Amino acid sequence: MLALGIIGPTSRVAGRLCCDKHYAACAWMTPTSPPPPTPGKQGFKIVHACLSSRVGRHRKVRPHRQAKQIEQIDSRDVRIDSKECSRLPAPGNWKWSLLAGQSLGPETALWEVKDQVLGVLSSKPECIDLMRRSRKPRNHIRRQIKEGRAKSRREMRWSDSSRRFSPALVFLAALLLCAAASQASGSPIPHGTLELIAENQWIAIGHPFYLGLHFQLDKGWHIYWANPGDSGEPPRVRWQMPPGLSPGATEWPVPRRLGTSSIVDFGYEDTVTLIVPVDAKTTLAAQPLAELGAEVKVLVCREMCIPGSTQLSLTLPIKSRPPAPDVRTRELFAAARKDLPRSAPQNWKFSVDDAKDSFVLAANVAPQITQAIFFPLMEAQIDNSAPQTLQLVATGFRLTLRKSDRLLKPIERLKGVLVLSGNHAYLVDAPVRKRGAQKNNSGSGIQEIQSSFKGGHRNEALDSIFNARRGDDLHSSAAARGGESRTGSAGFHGNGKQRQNISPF
Amino acid sequence: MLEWHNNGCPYVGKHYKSGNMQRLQKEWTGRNVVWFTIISSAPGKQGYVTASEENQYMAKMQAAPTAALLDPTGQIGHLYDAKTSPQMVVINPQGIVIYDGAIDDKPTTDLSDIAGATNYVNLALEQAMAGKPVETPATRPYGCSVKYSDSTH
Repeated sequence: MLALGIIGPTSRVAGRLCCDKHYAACAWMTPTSPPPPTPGKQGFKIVHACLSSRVGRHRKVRPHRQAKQIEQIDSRDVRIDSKECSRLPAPGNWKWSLLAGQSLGPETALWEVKDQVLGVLSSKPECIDLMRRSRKPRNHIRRQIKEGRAKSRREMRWSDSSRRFSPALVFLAALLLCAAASQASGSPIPHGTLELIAENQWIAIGHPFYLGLHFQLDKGWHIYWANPGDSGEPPRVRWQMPPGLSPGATEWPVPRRLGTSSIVDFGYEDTVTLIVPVDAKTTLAAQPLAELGAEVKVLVCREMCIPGSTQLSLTLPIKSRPPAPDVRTRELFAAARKDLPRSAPQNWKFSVDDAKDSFVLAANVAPQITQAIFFPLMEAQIDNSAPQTLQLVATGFRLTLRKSDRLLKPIERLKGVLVLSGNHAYLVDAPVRKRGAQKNNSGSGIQEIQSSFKGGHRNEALDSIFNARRGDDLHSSAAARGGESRTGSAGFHGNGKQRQNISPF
Repeated sequence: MLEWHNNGCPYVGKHYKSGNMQRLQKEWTGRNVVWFTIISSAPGKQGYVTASEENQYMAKMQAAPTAALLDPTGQIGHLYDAKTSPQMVVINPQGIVIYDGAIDDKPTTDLSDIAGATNYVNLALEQAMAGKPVETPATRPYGCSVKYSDSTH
């Protein structure tokens, strides 16, 4: 860790080098030329900054030399100057990006810059002041620098005779500090990191294997499931693999319900690993190494949403003998697999009845359940904020899922994840049968259990969506809504939901 | 036309930075559509703006709605069940909602996705003005969640 150096009042600080605690990102700042507004404090201008990403611990990866493009944000015109970055020989596992031209205030808004540039710096940085020196540097500065470079082997030298800071030295310092990040374990994404991991140490031709996309998020931030719910967007991956390797469908751990009573999303907080099966066909060329790449776009939110994008890579040897697991990733894969929904037991049969306003998911087996939550895989089929009513019947259980008001056509199958009490999660892929509205079965032993989470007062509001008035009447409509239920037929056609040219089903 | 808005949301930013939303506003207000940009963020929540902040934003962005409506209590938002920003609700002169949902069919934050996207708002307005039925009256809106007073995420 580097501590902020307090230099004597007569010293002139030539620049400040700040790195985040993982040394995953560093920024070099020089004082701004016009005199600062507050005497005694200096403003700094970021001359350049770098982001490093450790791609594959201890693996030999070809260095990436291209700087990452970041678009203009707001009106601050943070731009990339890729020339300087690409000249640097990055050590094996690193790639660089560069920010230039951003002027900041004296209290170093490095973490403001962080928010502005899509959250690439992961946490509050530490800084050291570097000075022009005409005599020996103070000991405590030396110590700070030594500590900061604990992992690197080279000694940083200040040139006695030079009157200007050589940009090369500065880059070297930044390079070394960034290189020291042994704790960093993934590419930075907004408020987190993402790493491409493999379950095995090598690929064997003809043996399918598993990769993982391991997300780690700052506290309070989340990403989304395959069906994000009412808002948000799931992470999207574009794979780059040599011929002979083909990725299959991503296996998503069971998501969590996020949000409020009226806007319900599905996603993950903290940490999640998406598992990806890969087929290694016999057509895979018998070369020594396979270079795997993944371009990932991800939306990370916590009140604020920040889109991020990163290029991951992983190189795995190709061998003919069966693969051995990688002990370093074993725990991550085990934890991820525990969170995957599993196939329902063989003797279970799911069916879905298409009642007028809802789908009724039925199972012919009634384990002792008190709770059930269904997560639909496809968007716009189920109303995510409506309560899901559970009924235990003699033959099994039934879960009533209110249809989404965006659903315009009948569906053939209902797919998703059903989570029962005790956190048992099952994959559901059931055919939808068309029938009239389902009423309670005759027979004894019916228990209706309201699911533990409530959707709140949605039903009336859903009907009122199509009870629109003209623009200038909006306020009076809103006032009239109050708590009473809407009964007026003015503005309604047909079955009360206005859908032009679509027959109700 | 009701357009739910939040100036910090990257999905809204996609349509404003590209000038797409402003173009739509200019075109349709020029064809006698009353266009309201509605901000339903509660005070203290992300996206909340005062009248002068919103006026500054609209001037900077050269936005051209008929007016921006500030809805900090979320009354209008809840009335229309607005879930995301952007979300578009098109109402015909008889007071019927003829379209409610996403602005187009590319639910991403990439500006480059605007050009090739099917714009549901244009379709709904053109079809309705030509006296034809609206082919796609509802879609799942995409964007950031509307920050009502109970918003936590």
